[in-house]
Amino acid sequence: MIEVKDLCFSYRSREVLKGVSFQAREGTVSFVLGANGAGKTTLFRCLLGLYRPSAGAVLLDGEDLTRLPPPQLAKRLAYIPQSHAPVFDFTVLDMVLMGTNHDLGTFRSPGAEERRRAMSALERVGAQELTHRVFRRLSGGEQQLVLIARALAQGSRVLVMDEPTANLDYGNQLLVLECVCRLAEEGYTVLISSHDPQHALWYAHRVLALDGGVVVADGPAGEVLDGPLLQQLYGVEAEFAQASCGRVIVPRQIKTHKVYKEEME
Amino acid sequence: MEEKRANRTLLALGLALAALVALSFTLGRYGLGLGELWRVLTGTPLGLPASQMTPQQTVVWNIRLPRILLCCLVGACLASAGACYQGVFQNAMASPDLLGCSQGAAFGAALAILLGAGTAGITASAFLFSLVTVALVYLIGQYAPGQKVLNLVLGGVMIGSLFSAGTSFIKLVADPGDQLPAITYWLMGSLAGARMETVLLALVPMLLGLVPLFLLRWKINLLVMGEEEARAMGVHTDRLRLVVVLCATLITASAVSVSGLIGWVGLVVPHLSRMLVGSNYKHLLPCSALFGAGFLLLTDNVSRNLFTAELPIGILTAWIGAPFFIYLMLHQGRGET
Repeated sequence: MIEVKDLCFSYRSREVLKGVSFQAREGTVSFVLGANGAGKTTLFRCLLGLYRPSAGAVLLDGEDLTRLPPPQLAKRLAYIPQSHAPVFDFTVLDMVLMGTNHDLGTFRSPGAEERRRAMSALERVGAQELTHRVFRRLSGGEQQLVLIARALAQGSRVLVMDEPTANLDYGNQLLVLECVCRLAEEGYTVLISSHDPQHALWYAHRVLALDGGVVVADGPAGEVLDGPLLQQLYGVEAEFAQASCGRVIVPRQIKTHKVYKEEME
Repeated sequence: MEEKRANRTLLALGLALAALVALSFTLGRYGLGLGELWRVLTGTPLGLPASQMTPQQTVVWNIRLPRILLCCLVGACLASAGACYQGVFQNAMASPDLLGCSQGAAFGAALAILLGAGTAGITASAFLFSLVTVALVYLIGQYAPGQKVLNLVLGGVMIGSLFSAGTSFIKLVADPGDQLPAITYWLMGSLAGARMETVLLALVPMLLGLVPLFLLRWKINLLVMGEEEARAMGVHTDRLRLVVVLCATLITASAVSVSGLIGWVGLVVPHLSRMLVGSNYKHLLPCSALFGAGFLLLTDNVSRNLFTAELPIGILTAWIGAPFFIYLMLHQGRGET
C-alpha cells in the first residue's frame, strides 16, 4: 500500500501542494483529477523523487520513499510518461530493456536474463510482435503499451502514469486504460493523472481530486464524482446519465473557465 | 538479432580500418609498396636510433606511423565525444564543441603563439583553456535557475563567443609576419608534423576519457530518454551527465589541442554510425570511434596526397561535412512524415 501523508511542496515562494494525504491499495486504479495547475504533476514529481517535498512523507508499505536514492526508488516505483518519441531511433526491445537499469551494475549492460524479462513484459501488454520495430515509427497507442511494458520490466509494483491517454485517439485511449486495469487486477498499484473525469468514472476504483494543491475529494469514483465536484474543479456544469453499459458525464454548458476566473479575481 | 548484426558491422569496420591503416603507410611522396612496408615493419629492431635508420625506416616509423596513429586517435575521440554529447543533450545537432571546447582551445593556442611558446606550450595552453571554458560553462549551467540542459547549451554559446572574440583580438594584435599566419594555420586544423611524443602525450588524457565512456556507454541510452524518465529508471542523472560530459570534454580537448580545429567529424560520424548500427550506445559508441578513426584517416590521406601543397584537414572535413549536414536535414524531414 502506498500512503502519502501531509505532503507539502513549494516552488520558490508559491505553495503548490498544501498537505496532500491519500492512500492507494494494491490491485486498485486511482485517478488523480484536477484542473491545470492544481498540483497533479507536482504531486507525481514528488512521488518519483524528482522534487524533494518540504514536508510530509511518501510511505510504501511503511518505508519512506522520499529519501531513497534513484536505483532503490526505481525498484519500488515505475513511471510511465506520456507517449513521446526520443530524439533518436531505438528499437522497442532497446526501450524496454532500459527498464532493467536499476538492477544492473554501473558498467553493465542488459544480458540474456534482462532480455527475458523485457520479452515477458512485452507479452503481458500484448505487444510482443512489436519487439524489433523502431519505437518512433509506432502509433501513439503502441508506444504507450511499450512504455507500460518498460515499467513492467522494471519490476516495481507501483505504476505512476502521467496522463497516459493524452495524444491518443479514442480507441487507443480505451485500449491503454483496459490494459492498465488488467494490470491492477494482477496486483499492481496504479496511480493515473488524468484530464478526463469520464475515464475516471469508468476505470477508477478511487478518485483523488486536487484543487489549488489541496485534496477536495477522495473516495470511490462512483460516490465522489458528481456535478458539484466537476463544477468546483473545472467550472463545468455537467449531468450524469445512465447508459445501459455505464454512467456517462454530459456537460450541460461550459461556464467561465476556472483558471480564467481565478485570474480575474 | 540486432545485436549480432551490429557486432558483425563493428567487425567489418575494424577490418576496413586495419586495411586503411596499411594503405595509408604506402601513400605519400615517398612511395612504398605493401611488401616493402612489411619488410620495414618486421625488420626494424626495437629502439633503433633514428640516426641509424634507412630512409624507408624513417618514413615508416618516424613520419607515417605517428601521423596515422594521431589521425585515428583524434578521429575516434571527436566522433565518440560527438555521439556522447548528442545523447546527453538529446540533440541530433550537438557536436563536441557545443560547450565551447574548441573556442577555448583556439583562444589558448592563439595566446600561446602570441607569447612565443613552442609546440608543446601551444598544445598545453590549448588543452588547459579548453577545459577551463567547459568548466565555466558547466558552473553557469548548474547555478542558473531553470532547465539545466538548456542552460548548459546557452552558456556554451555565450562563453564560446566570448573566447572567439578573444581569439579575434589576439589575431588583431599578433605580428602579421609570423604569428598571425601561425594562428590562422592552427585554427584550420592539421595533423602534419605529428611526432611520436605528441601521440604518447595525447594518449594519456584520451584514454582517461575514452575508457570510462566505453564502460558506461549503455547508460547513456537512459540520458537520451530525458531527465525525468532516466531518474525514474534509477539513474543518478546529475552524476552520470557530469561524468559523461567530463570524459567527452577531456577527449575533445586532447584531440583539439594536438590537431587544431577539425570540425564536422564529431557531428557527422555519429549520424553515419546510427545508420549502420542504430542508436543503442552499446554499439553506437564503438562504431563511432572506429568510423571516426577511419573517416579522419581517409580525409588526411586525401589532404596530404591530392595536391602538391598539403590542404589543412579542417577545410576538407568541412567540405565533406556541410553537404552531408544538408542531406541530413532534408532526409530527417522526410523520415518524420
